[in-house]
Amino acid sequence: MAKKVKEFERHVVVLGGGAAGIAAALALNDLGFKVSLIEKQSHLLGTIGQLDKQFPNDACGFCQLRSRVEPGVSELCLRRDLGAEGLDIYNLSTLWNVEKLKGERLKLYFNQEPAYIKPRLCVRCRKCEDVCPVEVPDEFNLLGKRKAAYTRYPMAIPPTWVIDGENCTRCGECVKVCPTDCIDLEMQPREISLEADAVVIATGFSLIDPAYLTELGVRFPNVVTSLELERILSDMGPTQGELKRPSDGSEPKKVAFVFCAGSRDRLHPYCSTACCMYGAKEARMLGDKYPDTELTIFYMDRRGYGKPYYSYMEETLPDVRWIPCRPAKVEEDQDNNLIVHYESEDGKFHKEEFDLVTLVVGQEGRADDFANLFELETNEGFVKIEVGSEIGTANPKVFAIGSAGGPKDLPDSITEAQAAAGRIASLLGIPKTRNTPPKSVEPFPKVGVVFDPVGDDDGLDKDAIKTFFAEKGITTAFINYTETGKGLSELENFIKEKELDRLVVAGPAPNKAERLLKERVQELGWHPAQLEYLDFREPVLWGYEDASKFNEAALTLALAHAEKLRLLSFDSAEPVQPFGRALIVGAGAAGLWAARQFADVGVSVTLIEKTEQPGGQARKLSRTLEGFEPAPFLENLIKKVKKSKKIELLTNTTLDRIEGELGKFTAHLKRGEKELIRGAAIILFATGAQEYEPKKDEFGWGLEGVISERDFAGRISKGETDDLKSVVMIQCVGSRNEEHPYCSRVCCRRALANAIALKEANPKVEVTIIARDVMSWGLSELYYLKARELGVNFIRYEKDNPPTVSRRDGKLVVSVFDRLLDATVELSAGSVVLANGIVASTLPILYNDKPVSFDKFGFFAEVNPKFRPTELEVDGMFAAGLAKGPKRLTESLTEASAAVAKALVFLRAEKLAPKYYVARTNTRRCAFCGICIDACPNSARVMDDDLMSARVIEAICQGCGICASACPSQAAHLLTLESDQAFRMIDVMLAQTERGD
Amino acid sequence: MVGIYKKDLNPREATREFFAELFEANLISSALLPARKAGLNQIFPALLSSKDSLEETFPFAPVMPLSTAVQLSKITRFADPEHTVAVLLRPCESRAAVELVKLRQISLDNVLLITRDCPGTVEPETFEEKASDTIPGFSDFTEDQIRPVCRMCEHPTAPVADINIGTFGAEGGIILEAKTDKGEEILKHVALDAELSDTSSREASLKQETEKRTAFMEKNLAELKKEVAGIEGLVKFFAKCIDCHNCRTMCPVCYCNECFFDSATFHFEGPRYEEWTQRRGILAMPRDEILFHLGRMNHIGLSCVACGMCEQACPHDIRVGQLFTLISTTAQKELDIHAGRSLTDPLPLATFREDEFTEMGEEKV
Amino acid sequence: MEKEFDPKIVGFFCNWCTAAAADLAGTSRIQYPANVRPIRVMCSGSVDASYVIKALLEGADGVLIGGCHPNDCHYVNGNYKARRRVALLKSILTTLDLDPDRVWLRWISAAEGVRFAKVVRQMTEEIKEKGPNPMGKSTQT
Repeated sequence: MAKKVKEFERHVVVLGGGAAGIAAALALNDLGFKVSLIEKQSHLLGTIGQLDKQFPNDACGFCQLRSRVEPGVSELCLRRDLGAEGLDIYNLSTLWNVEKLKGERLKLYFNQEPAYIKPRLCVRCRKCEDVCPVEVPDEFNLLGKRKAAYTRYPMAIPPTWVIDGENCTRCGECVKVCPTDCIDLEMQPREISLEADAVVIATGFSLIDPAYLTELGVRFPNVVTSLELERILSDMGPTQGELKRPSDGSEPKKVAFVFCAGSRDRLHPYCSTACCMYGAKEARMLGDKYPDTELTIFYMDRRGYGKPYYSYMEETLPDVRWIPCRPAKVEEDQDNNLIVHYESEDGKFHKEEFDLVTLVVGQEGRADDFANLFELETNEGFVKIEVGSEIGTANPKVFAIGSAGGPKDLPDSITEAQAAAGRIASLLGIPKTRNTPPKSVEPFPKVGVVFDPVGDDDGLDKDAIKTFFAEKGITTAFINYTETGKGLSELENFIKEKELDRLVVAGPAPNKAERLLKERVQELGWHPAQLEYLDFREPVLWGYEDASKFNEAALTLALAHAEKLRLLSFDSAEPVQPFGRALIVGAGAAGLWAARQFADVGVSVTLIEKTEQPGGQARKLSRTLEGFEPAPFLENLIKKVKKSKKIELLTNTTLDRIEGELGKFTAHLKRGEKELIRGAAIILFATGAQEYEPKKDEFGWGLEGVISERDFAGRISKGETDDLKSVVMIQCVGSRNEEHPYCSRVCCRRALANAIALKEANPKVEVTIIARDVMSWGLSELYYLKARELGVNFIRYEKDNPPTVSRRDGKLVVSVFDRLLDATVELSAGSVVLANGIVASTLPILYNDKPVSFDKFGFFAEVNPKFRPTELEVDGMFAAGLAKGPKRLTESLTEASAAVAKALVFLRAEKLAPKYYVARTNTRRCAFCGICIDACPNSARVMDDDLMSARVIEAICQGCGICASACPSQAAHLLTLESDQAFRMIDVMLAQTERGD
Repeated sequence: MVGIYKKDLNPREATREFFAELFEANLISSALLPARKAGLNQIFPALLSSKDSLEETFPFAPVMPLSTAVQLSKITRFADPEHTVAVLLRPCESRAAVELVKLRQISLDNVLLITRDCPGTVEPETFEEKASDTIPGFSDFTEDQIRPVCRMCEHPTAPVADINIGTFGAEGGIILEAKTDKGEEILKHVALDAELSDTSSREASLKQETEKRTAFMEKNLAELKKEVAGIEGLVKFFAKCIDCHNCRTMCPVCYCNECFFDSATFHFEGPRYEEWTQRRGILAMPRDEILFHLGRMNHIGLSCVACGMCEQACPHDIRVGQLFTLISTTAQKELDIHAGRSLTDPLPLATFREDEFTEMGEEKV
Repeated sequence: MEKEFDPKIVGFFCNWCTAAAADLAGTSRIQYPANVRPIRVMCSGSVDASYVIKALLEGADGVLIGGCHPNDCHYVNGNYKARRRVALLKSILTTLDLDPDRVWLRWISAAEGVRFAKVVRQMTEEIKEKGPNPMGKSTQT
């Protein structure tokens, strides 16, 4: 069991500030780790910054990574800011050395390239960029130019400008215009060393440079990469979201996508995992925006291998023409149109003209640059992951997540990031949360207004503004550069001198400024809400095209916010004490693994299992494709769980119903005739799934010699298959059809494992795999290649023309239409192996008398498939493993760790503290109608029968205010914007202008 | 498990007898029925503990001084009655009750919900004028005397009930129709003259009635719509409004403990009035009355059952009920939400459907 | 000469998306007419219909509610709820001939500075065409 630790005492270094790195950093920060997030580039976000929307829901939702909104934590879009206490960001930094310290700690040495701009002093005025004469290709928007003084993208993280030292001519123009003298063109690289208790490698991938794909026409202007197309379709991209082809700016009417450009070839023999889905997403985005455009996709396999992925492709791309081949050649005609040469499956050659060709390019590993520093091996350029894990490396304190460890898609990367936080928590222990004492805000304040125009006050008539506010009894001041710290003491003096207890600050867009100011006023004993930050510079001084309106806006907006503050007052609520226990339903691999990790950090667990023994589906698994042996792992895990004093394992026990709320759930269990009751702060569902049972005669099911893939694997390992002369495997049995429209994710890999094992044992055995698309994504593609090398025969079939299996003259015969031969062939087989899919087996679960909702496939539904992969609709409820959808054993374990990380945020709280970003209920006004309960997206509201009123669980409430606008009597109300404040603001906004000032 | 039965007595007697049977068979311990108030010529809902007082009840008196749904809420809201209460509601009252059930203001756990067909009601004053020793019936009034909201009501029969007492197509008797298992079970204990196998004449009669009302509604609302058009029309329409909020007090689906528009948000500081006056030159008092009406339309537009209690309560005879009928029928049609239709419909303003109004918000620029 | 009509538009911008888009436009020097007075709200789903009506009656020539695109909502589905409420409000305004086209609901994500500027421009221009909102002119409201 871990030692007691203090908040931000343990330090984790996260390498790489892309989506996975950010997710890991936030998850770790939520658990009380000090986190240093290291980024090589000038600004964070990596590839996700360039993708406005991501599959599988064609949206962003990146902000949902944040599990809490409260003062001190930036409550902004994560594309703009991730500020929080205990989270440090280092940009432009490259790792060059790693030293082993005592106790498995590591010391990491970084070289930080000079930004030539002192970040603390930069006020983001952009003047340096405006005067910079240098123009170089824009790495972010890809098809445009940027200056040498720049941010990678607007509103960047960190928010400060940098100068690209390589391209800078040192002309010094920027130095002249900088208002805060923050530019130092002589700045030298800085050495940073950080001692880490654990390291998360999230270095992501480089996009494969398609330059070598000359046959695909990379040199032609109208052949673009998928990322270029992404930027073309982006609102803030080079064409402001309009589809224009690079050669002439015309709108293409016929667009081809070439999948696997640079993947699954000689240089990159693996599959890049994400491209099928993001290529499909781009096709869909394009199709939605330009419905008349004709879309064609050239592909090798449709690898929509996740729960919703395949159906996404089928349902959302009805009008796309899918052609299963890689084009042989792309040529250009005199009008820059592209002629694509390809061979269709029947062997015929075609030439077809397109207006635009998109090469859907894949991922290239970066680990060869640094893996040796950690004494880690690499695999095809990616960090080598330990067998039996998705994120573990040879060093137990170093985890590789996302594409650092192999080509990954976004949802898996985020799961892995959160899993790393869970694994690190169980290795290092986690602190209890600090309790901030409740604080109330008294009415009848004295309000002041500070304008911080950051030197940019040309359009403001200071005297007029001062007079205007003086008439209203409001003191004003103009203080520059508060966000650099320069103006802070002046601001503090202003507050003290004028004896203010509320302050509006109108300044630059709030990413660092707002947080800094709120921290400062808290030091003065204020509640952060007593300072209202008015986002003024960007949307007004820079956004308004009419400078004569600046003054009017200053008066109106500042007065509206001052009035809002004048009406502010609230009492703080009492904190809630949660139960210190987790309930895990299902003692399969995921449940056991989660239980163990909870126990590692000292959390008590009740783990229930409906069958006689723990282990679940994993008990039936044989050696995996990568060589992982589940049996000993599971045995060891069960032993540890049984031994743990923290874990109460109840077999033959089922969950009857659940009542209560996050922190205070009550679970009614049934053990035989006996009813047991357990209180739990959180509940994790790891209830597993089932193997699909084919219907009688489906692919010959029921005939002698027809066997399921899993059982067949068992027979191989027992050596019972050595006599077989021929084996036919049929994929997608009970998957990707009307009944189960998803891919079961594990079966193709298992077929490859079986085929390779057969061939290795007996090279003479004939093995044929009949598949629709071989789902060997990522590095497992290498096993597909290996199987081919070993002589395994692959035949593709389509859903509407499946193979049939019969028994003739004592032999099994499989007939299948071979598209290459354009004829039906018959294969005789000693064994026919069916890749039976995975189907949901979740039983209805009653929560507060209402059933917990499942997705359309019958699995547990996550709140957000990308950014909250283990969280369910009801806060405090989580799901992991097969219960959430088909997945491999190691993926189930990863998901369990991710759920543990998210759950520990609540379990480490001694008290669930009251917050400011919350809704409340006025008990006297509440009619107990429940409209707010239905309206709340976070299940933060409950009906309290004792109070006869709805009640807010402040620990869950995110302060969105949807309840307040649903409640007709405003019994539900929002602290951050009460209706009297809103009314007054509207009033002020509309009052001022008529005076003409 | 829905049966239709007919009782051959006049509706008033048949209904009294039906309730008497419920009492006799110990199926209910009390009943909430329209009854003569203190021997006067007014009919209000009253709770009866036995069949003895049934003589005082007038189930079909064509007057509705208030919505019984609100009274049912009082009986069941804080705790379910220990024994079964039977309640007799008009279609609009039943629909209001359905809304209030969804809003947890009524619990039907120990309630036997009995509804009756409704040809329409008159204002209490009109009713009182006509009444003497005998309580008048629907046919004692001319069509013009029937409240316009009733003449526009497209629900001559209630969509939700355990048992409905039908009069349309009943040839002077009543048709008892069980609409739930509970109702079916109850009807087993009631003496019925015949089982009705052919319901076509009832259906035809209901259809004819509904069509008549729809036609009137379309005509009436079209005129009203013209009259209230634009802010000037609306101000003129509410010109006599004294901001008394009687309309909201009597509204069965305005269930709030305290109306938002009576809350502290509207207790403005003195200087505000000065400020507004300075700005506008003239400030009409009381303030925010149009906001109140428009706000209320947003609050209850999707739950409004067009019972017209608001209009009946208005001291200045503003046709507020007809206006609410206009906006709520339109809005409910457009949003595909139907007040009072079903106990299992979700609360409209707390929920959504992903596939509705999909173009909204996405408009290209 | 009569002063050119300069519309007043009250904006309710969601903190996560549309308010961020306004900053993004500003910081990228994508300019737009100075006619919107923004109120930052946590979610478009928190905008009470009475706020919108209040603004219209108080003299706003238009009200712009900005939220996240479907599936983008920080609060999972607040934007869907906003959409239904605005649909109801617009239905009522239409019935009463109170010009529903003065109330705009637009999804503008944090990455859509250009769209933000375009929406503000388009709305300002359309409201200019319409002229001042008669609802605010009435002395009786």
